[in-house]
Amino acid sequence: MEVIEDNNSKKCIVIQQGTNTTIAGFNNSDLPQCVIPSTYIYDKQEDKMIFGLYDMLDIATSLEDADRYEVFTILDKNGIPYNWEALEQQWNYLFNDVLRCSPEEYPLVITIPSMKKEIDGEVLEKYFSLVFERFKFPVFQIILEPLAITLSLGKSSGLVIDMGSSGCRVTPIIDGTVIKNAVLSSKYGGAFLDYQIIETLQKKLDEEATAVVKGSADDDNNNVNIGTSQIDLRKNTSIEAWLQSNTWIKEFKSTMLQVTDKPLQDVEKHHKEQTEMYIRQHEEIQRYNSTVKDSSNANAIEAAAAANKTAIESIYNNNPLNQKKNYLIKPSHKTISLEARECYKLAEYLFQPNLASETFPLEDGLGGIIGKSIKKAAATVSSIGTTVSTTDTMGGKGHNMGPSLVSLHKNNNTTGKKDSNNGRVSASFITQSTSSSLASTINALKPEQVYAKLLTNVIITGSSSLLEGMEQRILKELSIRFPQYKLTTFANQNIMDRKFQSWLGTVTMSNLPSWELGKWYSKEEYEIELEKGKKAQKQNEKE
Amino acid sequence: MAPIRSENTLIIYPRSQTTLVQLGLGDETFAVPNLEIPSEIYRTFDELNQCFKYHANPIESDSSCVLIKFIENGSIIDLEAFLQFIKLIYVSILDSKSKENPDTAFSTELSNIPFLLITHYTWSQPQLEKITQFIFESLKILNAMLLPSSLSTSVAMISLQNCCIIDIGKSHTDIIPIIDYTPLSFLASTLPMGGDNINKFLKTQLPSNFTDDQIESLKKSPIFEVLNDEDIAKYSKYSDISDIINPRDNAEGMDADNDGGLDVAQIIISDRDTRELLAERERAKTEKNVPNSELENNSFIDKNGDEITVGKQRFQGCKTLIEKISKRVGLVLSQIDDISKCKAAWENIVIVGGSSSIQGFKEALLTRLIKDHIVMEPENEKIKREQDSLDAANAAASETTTTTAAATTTTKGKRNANKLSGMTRSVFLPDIEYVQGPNVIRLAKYPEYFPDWKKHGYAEIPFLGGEIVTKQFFNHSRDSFYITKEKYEEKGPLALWDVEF
Repeated sequence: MEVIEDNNSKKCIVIQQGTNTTIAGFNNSDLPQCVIPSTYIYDKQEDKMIFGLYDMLDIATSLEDADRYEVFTILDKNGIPYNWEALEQQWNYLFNDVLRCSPEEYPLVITIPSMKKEIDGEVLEKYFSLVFERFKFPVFQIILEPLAITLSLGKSSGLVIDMGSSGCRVTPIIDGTVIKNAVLSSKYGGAFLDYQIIETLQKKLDEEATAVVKGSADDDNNNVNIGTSQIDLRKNTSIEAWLQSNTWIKEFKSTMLQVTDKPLQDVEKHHKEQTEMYIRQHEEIQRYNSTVKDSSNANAIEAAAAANKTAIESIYNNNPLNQKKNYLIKPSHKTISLEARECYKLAEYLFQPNLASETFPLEDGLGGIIGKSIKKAAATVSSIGTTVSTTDTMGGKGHNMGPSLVSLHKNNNTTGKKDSNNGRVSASFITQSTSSSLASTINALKPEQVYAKLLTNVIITGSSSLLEGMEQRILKELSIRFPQYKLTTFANQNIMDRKFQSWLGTVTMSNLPSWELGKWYSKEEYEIELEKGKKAQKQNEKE
Repeated sequence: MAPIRSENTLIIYPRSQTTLVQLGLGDETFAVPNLEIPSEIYRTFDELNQCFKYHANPIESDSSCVLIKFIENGSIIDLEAFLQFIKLIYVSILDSKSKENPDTAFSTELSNIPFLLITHYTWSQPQLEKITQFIFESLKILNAMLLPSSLSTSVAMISLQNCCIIDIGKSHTDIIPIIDYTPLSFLASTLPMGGDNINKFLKTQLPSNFTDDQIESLKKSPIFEVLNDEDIAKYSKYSDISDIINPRDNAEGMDADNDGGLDVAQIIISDRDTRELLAERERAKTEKNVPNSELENNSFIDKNGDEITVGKQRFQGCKTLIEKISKRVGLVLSQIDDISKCKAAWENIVIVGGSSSIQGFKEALLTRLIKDHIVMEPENEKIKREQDSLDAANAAASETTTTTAAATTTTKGKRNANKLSGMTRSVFLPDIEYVQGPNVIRLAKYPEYFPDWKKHGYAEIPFLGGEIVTKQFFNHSRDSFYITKEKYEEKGPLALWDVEF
């Protein structure tokens, strides 16, 4: 019995290959079927790769033989696979164990983060071999994540701020085209925060231990001990570190960290001034009271002084930055208390990395790269000559929306021949020129117009953007840099939706009647190209 | 086309061991399913046509005849056999109904049978599509609905918005979080361990002459229970465990009502003779004043009707299973990023499946969940904090005393008060508040207004959910909740994905 072939159906498999998480599912549902780490545990004893969240967590939480396992990544920090063998195994797991379907029957769409330059021909070729030769998908498309997000929100222009694990990435999109040389990224993202959290907490624990040692040393001098905590959060093995950042640190980030609405120094200053003002007020009142009251009673004066001291103390304590928050580190069974100030400070590192270490430049902070990206985009777009173009709308002809992988047929004749015999597949099959596609799609715009288009469509996404107060802060950073422009931000308030946004955006796009964000590569075309390549190579050898 | 009448609905809930089936809903209330069939089918190979044939009973004469268990740990491992099994059920029902009423059956009650199939989260999209195709093309059904078991459970539990379903099977346990009425199957997890684990443990503890069947009977008998009084007292602060039906606390000895509930469940599960059970109940009544938990030995009746006495082994065997489930539930729920929804799920733990009807099991699992996962101040920190604050209070007291003494005027009352506060030696300390959860872990409340189900017990509650959905949605004026023949003809098996709740 065969399922009826429905030619109109556009059912396809969508995989978002993120640096931290891989999300996969069919495009007929707004929930993915599979969300697994983009890492795997290697079992040295069995020579086996272990994928799947719970299988990995199971091993990591019941470690008996620590040396037996190690955690490895599959993608580099830009979201490009480098560990192709592991990627193949991961896909095996995806299709056989979770989606339980045969790849030959479905189109495949994968998303990748935007990049400063074109996707490398070699990478693309490896993808082709994986997709067409190994898994035998009939057709295949690569989509830029920010493009899918922007278009799925019904916008053709936007500034996508994607705060991921390996860093933050800012992508300006004008009229459906990614302005590649204005794509900027920093290495300050979720993983960086994980590290800073561990450092901060460890310092705190060690200090506490020192205090305890000192305290007990005062009592009896027998107790000579070094001031380090029993609890060591800095993990030596990759598997412990992985477990930590996938369990309690994740929770710590979502419950403890907060972003101030303006730079932390300003907030500190504000509260300090407030406190000083309250104290001045208090002193005024005291002075007034003491002039009225009889000052002969020494006792009363003493009592009043004591009361005064407590009052001032309580004013200090009322500073919201001094408020304590408690977190229980479950694996260590230890309560950690941080002042609001400390919680804010950790998140502040994303905007002012120089606060974490002097070697980290301030301009790599999130505010800095956002500002730079916008200016660069404006400069790039406005420098384009007034080439006549067909500004297209979503779901139209489409091929000029995805400048990363522009139509094969168009470029085939122009750039194809000269380097066709370099690899197995002709270069024209996998490359195209950015500048030409850019020129053909975008009308030259004045810098102000570019600013306006981007600033009214600021899209905030990525797991790390879920820190409380992030949206307000980004608005503030933008309003400091572009005071004369109207600002509008878009951030999905549903936590799960924001986490899956790239995947969901791609699903939305793939359900439109006619869509082609990137180019559809087909297995047949690929095979023809492959043949051509082989022939050319033979020819070459003969010559 | 014949109108849809939900009273004629066919509901099928296939599971690894047995499949629950019912045709038609009760008039007034929801009945417990009237058929429980082993999930297996016999297959022979037809040499002549080079194809497989499926049979309800073994074909002795055919050497190619094999028994196929098509569902393993909830997943369909042989789709063709599964489909033939569904067909067998459907055809048998048509057959028996039409015999009851040969003249009019097909023009009345059998003219339009809405079909509801309760599915498992691991069934793949291609499998579900093929099932849909089979329902419409081979069975010629006009209206059908495929309902995930997790969802039907939450519907039965009075539509919980956020909860965590723990479904304990024979050799596997499914843990599925539901957030905003949506089962998150990408977070769902199957633990390769179930009720069988208890049997295995019992086998090591009981004398070697116990057969597997006897162990199973013991496990299902009312004298088999999990004891956990101490822990309940310890953790009651973080839940409402004491509210849960706990006969040993509520009434002296065995509560007849509660026992009745379990007994009926036993009849159905174990196919035992009602008379036997009644006899057992009588015995229980005569021993009414001594609870099972306080008896050194107690007896149960096995499949053959023999009375067997066992000692304290009847309180053992669930520990490992409970530990493993608790650990996995912790991992699953920790993956929910939305803290408030995660907390809500912790407050609505739903435990279903056979083992959940063991006396005390749910309470023991809940207690374990609390022990493992509740966020509370570690004991040593609390003691230290109390000591510190006591020291501080004492220090303050003595300080004040000296200052006042040094001063020329002393207010006696004040001084005494200070002394007193130092002497009481107990300082009121507020609990530490944590930013994270869970701070409370609770079992969701079972629906008590379906008398049949209340008597039957709630282990098979996903089926009740199927009944409720049937009643609500097949009668609904909007047909977007189920697949109709028209939609199927238009879109084929993919029509399945347009249906939504």
